[in-house]
Amino acid sequence: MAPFVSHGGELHLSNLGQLSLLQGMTEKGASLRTTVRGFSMTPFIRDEDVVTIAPMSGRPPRVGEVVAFSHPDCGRLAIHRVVACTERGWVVRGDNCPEADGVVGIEHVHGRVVAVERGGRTVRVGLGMSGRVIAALNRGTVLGRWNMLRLLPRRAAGFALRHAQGLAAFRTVGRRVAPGFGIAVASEADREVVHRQHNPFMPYQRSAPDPHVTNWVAKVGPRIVGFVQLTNRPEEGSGWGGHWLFSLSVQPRYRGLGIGDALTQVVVDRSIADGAPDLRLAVFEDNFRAVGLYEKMGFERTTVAALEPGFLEEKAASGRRRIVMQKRLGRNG
Amino acid sequence: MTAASKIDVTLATICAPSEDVVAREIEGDIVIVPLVAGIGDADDELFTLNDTGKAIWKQLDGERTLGDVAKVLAQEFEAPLAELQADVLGFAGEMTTRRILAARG
Repeated sequence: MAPFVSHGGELHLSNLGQLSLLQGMTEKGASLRTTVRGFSMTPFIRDEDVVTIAPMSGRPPRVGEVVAFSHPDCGRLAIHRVVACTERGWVVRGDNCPEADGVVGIEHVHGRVVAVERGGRTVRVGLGMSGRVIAALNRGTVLGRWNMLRLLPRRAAGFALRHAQGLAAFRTVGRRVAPGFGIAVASEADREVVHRQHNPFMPYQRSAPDPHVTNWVAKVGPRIVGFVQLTNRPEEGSGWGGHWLFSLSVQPRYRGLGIGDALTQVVVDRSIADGAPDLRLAVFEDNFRAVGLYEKMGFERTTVAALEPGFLEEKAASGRRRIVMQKRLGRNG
Repeated sequence: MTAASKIDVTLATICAPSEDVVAREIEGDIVIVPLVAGIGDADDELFTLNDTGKAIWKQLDGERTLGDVAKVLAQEFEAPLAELQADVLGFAGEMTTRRILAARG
């Protein structure tokens, strides 16, 4: 590798970084080819599709076109469809969004999507004439209802799977026949994937590494199917000091295969290696599946006085009560 | 971007960012995207500079010679001039070869 310049294949531009680069392209009258993140334009533009954004070159957007624009509320770069034209500007909306973003003036439109690639192939549906049809449908509720119908079979299958995962026979057989998984400390790219799995409409923000936080992911092949976090902050009276397990999650279709057990165990093992006297976690009292898992792994209910006022306030607001569970890690743990 | 043949640069050479690239400072990084047929490919053809490269890049205004740039940096970083000259020539050679910098003189 050359000493002064490096190929940026691993560089993940933030949303504002992409916006800045797009503005640089626009100033030169050039197009930008870049990967899009998120699900707001599904199914016509999907997460990780590659789009080419051409400058507007002085011409106004047209209804049906997909445009790259600065969001009127937050200034972030978004790529959504023009669904109507008003006196004040253009109404833009994601094909998969329940509401329009608002009215966008020409000064906030940075380009229009002229090509979409998925898996190395050009995708034509959603641009050109079909874009105008989608915009017409999206002005009302037709597209939203169509999306609900489209997803109905998948939701039914998910419902059946969730019930099967609760059966001991499913877990026994599943652990024998399911593809193997591995657990590794999460990279920045892994964390971005996890963020998008849990917050599909929120842009990922890079953050500086925190020496008090370790994240792990469970993978089946290249696919991330589970996540867990360990924090080991010093005691400061907040109640969250010491070793805490957070954010244990397993993708729905991979539950019942021992991945949650394995992720919990890796946090337990690290805490023991750190010499921690105990490991704690907070869980909603009515999350019976999770509470059952933790009890099986040796956690018991406990109380952290400093956290109780916040938990009670949370219950008053949301109706759900969190509890603390603790696993002793000493010789008698 | 295909690598061209090595271009000779000297301390008398004047360099500036090529018209065929878009370069922006983004979150502390100099991000450079070459344009091919009017399209910049942020997926496959995106480059970033290391700290030395960034310091040199910011001095390349299309008016100073590379020798002048080395002098400015030697003063700024209180480093030996010969060392800075070698860095500047190395950087300019690499970047002109990649057609990220345009050279004259």
